[in-house]
Amino acid sequence: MHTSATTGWGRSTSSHGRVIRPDSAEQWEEMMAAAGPRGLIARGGGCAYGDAAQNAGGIVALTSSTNERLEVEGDTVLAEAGTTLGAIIRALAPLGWTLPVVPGTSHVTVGGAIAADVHGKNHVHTGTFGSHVREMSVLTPALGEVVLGPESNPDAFRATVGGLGLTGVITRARLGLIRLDSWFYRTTDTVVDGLDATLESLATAARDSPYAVGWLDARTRTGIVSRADPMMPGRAAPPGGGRLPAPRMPAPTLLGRGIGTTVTVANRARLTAARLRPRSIRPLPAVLYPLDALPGWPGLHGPRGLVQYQFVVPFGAEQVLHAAMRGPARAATLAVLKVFGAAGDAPLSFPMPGWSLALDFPAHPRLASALDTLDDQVAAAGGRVYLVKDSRMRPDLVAAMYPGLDRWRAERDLLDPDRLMTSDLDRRLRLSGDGHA
Amino acid sequence: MRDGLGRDQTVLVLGGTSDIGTAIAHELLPSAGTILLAGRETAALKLAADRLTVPGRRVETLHYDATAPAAATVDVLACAAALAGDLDVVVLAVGALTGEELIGADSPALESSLQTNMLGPMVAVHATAHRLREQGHGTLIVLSSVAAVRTRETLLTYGVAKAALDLYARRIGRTLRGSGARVLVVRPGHVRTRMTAGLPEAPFATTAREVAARVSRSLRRRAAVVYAPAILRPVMATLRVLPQDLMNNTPRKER
Repeated sequence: MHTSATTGWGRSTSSHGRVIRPDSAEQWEEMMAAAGPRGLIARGGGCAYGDAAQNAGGIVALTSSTNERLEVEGDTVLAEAGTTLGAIIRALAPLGWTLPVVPGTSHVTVGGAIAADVHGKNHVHTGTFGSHVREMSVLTPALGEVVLGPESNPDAFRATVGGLGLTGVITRARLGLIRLDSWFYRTTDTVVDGLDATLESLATAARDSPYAVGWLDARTRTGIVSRADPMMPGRAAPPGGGRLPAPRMPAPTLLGRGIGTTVTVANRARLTAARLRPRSIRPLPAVLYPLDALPGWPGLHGPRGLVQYQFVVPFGAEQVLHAAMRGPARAATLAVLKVFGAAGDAPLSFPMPGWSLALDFPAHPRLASALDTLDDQVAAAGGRVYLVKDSRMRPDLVAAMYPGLDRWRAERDLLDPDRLMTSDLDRRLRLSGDGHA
Repeated sequence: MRDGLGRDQTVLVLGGTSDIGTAIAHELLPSAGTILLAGRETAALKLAADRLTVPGRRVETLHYDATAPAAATVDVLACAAALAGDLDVVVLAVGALTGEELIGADSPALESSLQTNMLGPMVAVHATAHRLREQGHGTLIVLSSVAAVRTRETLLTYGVAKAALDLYARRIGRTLRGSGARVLVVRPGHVRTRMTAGLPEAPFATTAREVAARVSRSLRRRAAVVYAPAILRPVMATLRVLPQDLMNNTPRKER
């Protein structure tokens, strides 16, 4: 059996499995029928920071060949699972449509976005990606190919949204669209002192602007609140049919310990830029995909790679954010703050009303106990950690953070009773529960 | 599964009463995870398990006898996986120090020493390597000895057994390349444990905790063989090229 290594986007996790790329519906079905005891997981853009799309000893099935069809019908688009959100946005922009929810990178696929139930910088207004899925086809081990939607088969639908690929292989989905207001956005950066002022400023920005995000520097205790508002509608159409070159910077590799200084300098530079030039006009991709501006970001974190820790705590539990900023966030290379609106009804969906903080760290073993402590504080405050980005949480906390876990397990066992769909994340966090595995 | 910060979740110790084996398990899973101790003596296993019990960590014991037929070893591994899921680390810590003066003219004693120090452990290496390959990840830590590098007459049987095990484990480790699994061969010098109690102490003597710390650091590198303490690597390289007669006159005793 030939195996090859798959890693998470953060490069801190890696394991060996059989990587295959089925390119027809028959091949997908054959593969599912032939999967051994180590099971299979579908892998889209490989954008999960940790081990969500790895499957040690089993099959890692790439969906990248399923990206050809893209049909617009009314205010929806039918897209295959392997299509990247970036490709959809580029293709739809000339028609005046766009996706309501986009995560921080354009490389996420439709399948991955549903399985992680991703969110954007506009969660307050639009909710998660899953809330705009009108229906989807899922190849399940127990029932074969099924069509799931919020009305038809709602329980299976909700188990698959945010279900980390463990209910089956998503093959295509019909997504709701919104009108593209403008291809160009006016971004405004406000420099704020202290965490509380940043939260307040971010809450206002999130209410008034479609996109809002906060950047924090734990060392200098300053924040930048960035908001983006559409330009006048007359400039809606992107130049050159939406085929803007993605902003790219070279990806140098530094040793892990070097990044501390680099980050200090980068944060200063960003603060200075925000002070000197708080307003600018940017094309939509530059607003939506900050992560794509520096593709070598994980590599900058040294040979051990990068670990991201994203959590959400309800409004009123700001003390957890303060604890994070006083503690582990001081070692973070990036700290991104967002506000979340109402939660969806998928049991494993991450967003809930409150504050979300995402921290990037070089994956150093010394980090472990500080993050374990933060886990406990987050869980005690009624918050949760984002599973698709996780690579180090303790399994016993999942049930406390996700009260719908048992409901999800029951539904998942109907779609995949033999637990054929599995991943390293599933094993590490024991998401499927004990018993047979 | 090993996590993004390099922490393992499950460690199985074959020879679960071994001081070095349990020290390695303790070092790798300081406050969480599952430690499985597999061994022959139930009472001693229970004691070892009690010593390892800390809040947040699960400790279980299993029956394992290195002198039993090979199929039993395969079953122990399957049992361990059924109890705790994937085995992230398997520590092979089976062995008994039997000096030549103890064996003397007793041929069954020689056979028994080879079973405990060579045959049983080799079967365990074989079975574990197979399981880890199927699993697509995991580390097998094999406790060898400096006696595998330079064998003295006073520990001839033990040294020969360790030499065979050492070579076998390294070669199996090579076949695992590209499978996600790996083998780490550990060659400690004189370690102050129950096994060496009463023996005259050799130079560069160390403790089980220090060996465990060294193993833990080596797991973060791609090392295939590690000496504990590290100074033994150049020392053994020198002893290896020394003529045997001269070697026999050097006043030291290996474990």
